[in-house]
Amino acid sequence: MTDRSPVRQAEALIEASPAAAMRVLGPYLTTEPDDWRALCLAAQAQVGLDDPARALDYARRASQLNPHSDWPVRLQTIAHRDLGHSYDAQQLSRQSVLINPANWQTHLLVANADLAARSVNHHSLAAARKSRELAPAEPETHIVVGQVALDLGLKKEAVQAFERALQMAPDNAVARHELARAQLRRGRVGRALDGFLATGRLDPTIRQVRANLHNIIARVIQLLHYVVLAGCLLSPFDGPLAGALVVLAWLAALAWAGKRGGRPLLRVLAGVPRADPMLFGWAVALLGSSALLVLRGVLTLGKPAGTSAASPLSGLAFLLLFVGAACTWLRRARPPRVGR
Amino acid sequence: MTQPLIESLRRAVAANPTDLPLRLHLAELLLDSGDQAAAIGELAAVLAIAPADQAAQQLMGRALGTPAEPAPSEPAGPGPAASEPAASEPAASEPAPDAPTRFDWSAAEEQLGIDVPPMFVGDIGPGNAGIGDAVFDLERPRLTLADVGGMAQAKQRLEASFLAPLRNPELRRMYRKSLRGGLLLYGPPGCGKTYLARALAGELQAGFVSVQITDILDQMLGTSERNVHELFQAARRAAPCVLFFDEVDALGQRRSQTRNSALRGTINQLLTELDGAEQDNDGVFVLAATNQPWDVDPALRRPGRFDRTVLVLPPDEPAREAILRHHLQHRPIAGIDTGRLAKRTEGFSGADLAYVTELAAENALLASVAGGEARPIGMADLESAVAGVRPSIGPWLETARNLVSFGEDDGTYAELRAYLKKAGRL
Repeated sequence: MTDRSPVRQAEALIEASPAAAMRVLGPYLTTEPDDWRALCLAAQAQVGLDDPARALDYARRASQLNPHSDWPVRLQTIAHRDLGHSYDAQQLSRQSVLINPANWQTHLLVANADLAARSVNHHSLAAARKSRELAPAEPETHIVVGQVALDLGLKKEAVQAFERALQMAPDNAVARHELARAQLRRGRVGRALDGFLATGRLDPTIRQVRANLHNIIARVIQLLHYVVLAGCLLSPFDGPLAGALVVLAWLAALAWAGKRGGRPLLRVLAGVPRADPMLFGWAVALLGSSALLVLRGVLTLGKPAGTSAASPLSGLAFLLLFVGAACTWLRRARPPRVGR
Repeated sequence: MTQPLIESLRRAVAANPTDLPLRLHLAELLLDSGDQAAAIGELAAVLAIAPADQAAQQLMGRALGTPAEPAPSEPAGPGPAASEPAASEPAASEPAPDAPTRFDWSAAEEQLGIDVPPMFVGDIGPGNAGIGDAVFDLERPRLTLADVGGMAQAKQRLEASFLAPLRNPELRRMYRKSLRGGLLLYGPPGCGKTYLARALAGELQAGFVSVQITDILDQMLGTSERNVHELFQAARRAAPCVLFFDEVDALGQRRSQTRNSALRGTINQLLTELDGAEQDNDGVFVLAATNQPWDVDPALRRPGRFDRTVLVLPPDEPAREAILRHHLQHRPIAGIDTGRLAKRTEGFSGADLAYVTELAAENALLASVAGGEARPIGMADLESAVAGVRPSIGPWLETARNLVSFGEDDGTYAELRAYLKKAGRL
């Protein structure tokens, strides 16, 4: 190979293979432990290797050797964030801005640290916007603006920011996923479903996709729940009409899921009983309730309306709806371990 | 009498070109009849298929006039000695009587006047393949697929997609099956992909060059591309040669996901070399391994490139038993039932099994220190180690599940899908 300095070689390798970069840097750092650039690269490699504790160690040493650079401070921020040290991450991100306010990455980190700490406010949004202003060609800046805006309830701005990021990088799985999340918050379940499925195709390592698809299934079941509730209320007056309403609602939901979600959604559905038992319990209770309403509709077919108001079938259907609602409550109280 | 027989044998050989004994017989008859050129042609065909065939080597030696082996049982007859060297005359090229008989390829090349280019340029030792300042280690693995314990399914796939067409050139020609393209081994980490690649190289009796990203990637403009080109050139010179790209997801990651211009250029160059547009890739078998097939640039998976995939799964029961035996063989052990352990370690990777034996050894060592008396590793140590180790491939399987759930169902991951279904993960 050509004669290459380890630091330059590591720079070339770091994005493609942090492990390979580390293999180059390890021996070099034993002989040159005070090379702050090499220490920063080692920290960056450790972040890539999901070892934030080591990354923090390297970044701290680099920062001691060169306190005037924002690079080691940024790396410390990331390491603290990944370790769950939210306060430290937020403090250091602000320190990095003070060191180098002209660098878009420092502003981005402020917003990022706030997002990780779940304490987003208008300062976070200002930082994200500043970062975007400094580097409008970086899709990442648009994504972070969108994430902060979404957390602040600015759904329209969030969608616009994610769409802009996707215009720049159509294969960006994070932007695609975040846009789908924003669509789900706006109640556009179909678009959200498309977005999550596309994310799964683009990057199967994003574990939240499955959890979000479960959330979409939950949304559909919630809609069905309302329809079945309406059916329960209607059934004492017109049993056949209530039964027909419920059947139509289920058919529409299944047709929509089959057409829009296709096989991937069916595969996710097949995994629901094991991965999300409360969601499954809700669906089963709803199905049972619907079946009772349909049965009641069939039994009262041809009879004058309001003749069997106190049917035990209606009562049982109501009871099952309550069971379903309890499952929802339990699911919210103890979120399923899907794709975490 | 001989000529009709030769003609008849020629027809038989034409009908069945891979019948080596038949070819050898024909070559012998041709040699006896004085048609050396034709005999050499037949023998060359035999040696191309079976380079180690001793009979063919001896006959080739005879055909080329090289003394292949002294025949001690044959009495030195009083025949016309004019054209033969005197028995007492020392011959520099003659092998020592007790030396192993080897066909002298150099002499053959000299006699045939073939100008064979050197395999490697520059002052590079026999263990390296390289050009200029680029050097790659060239190995000659002795390992074959028979040495790989278990993994019956992967071996079967390798045989079907790679070895069978390679071993049967006539059938390949008949079915117009191309040998273009490489093979991608994928699967969870620590399950023996690299080992399998080495065994495949041994099976092909080919050289083996393992390529790491560190051998290729360079920040300097154009250097990475040049490194890739030189690597392929070296492999072409060393053909038959297996080029093995380990962790190809790093080198050949999706171009849309990388900002590194050196990496983008490298992938483009790799595609060019794989296509063999400028050079012929005959005899260069390109293998790659990855834990993350989803990160590999789709362009690398197109026909003619890494278009064949083999899933290397966690070791099956026989393989687990073999791995456990391998890791325990040089340690003091007593009463170990590897079969029982293999049954209990379903889903463990090779690396997990190695860790199990390490833990068991650690247990036994600590117990020996505490007891003041050395004791061998027992079944209890191993069982407690197994109980303390969780299969490391869980996260990989989770991602693989997403891959087959959401990805295009184009058959690329059919094996993986079947495995996940069987394992109840889909």
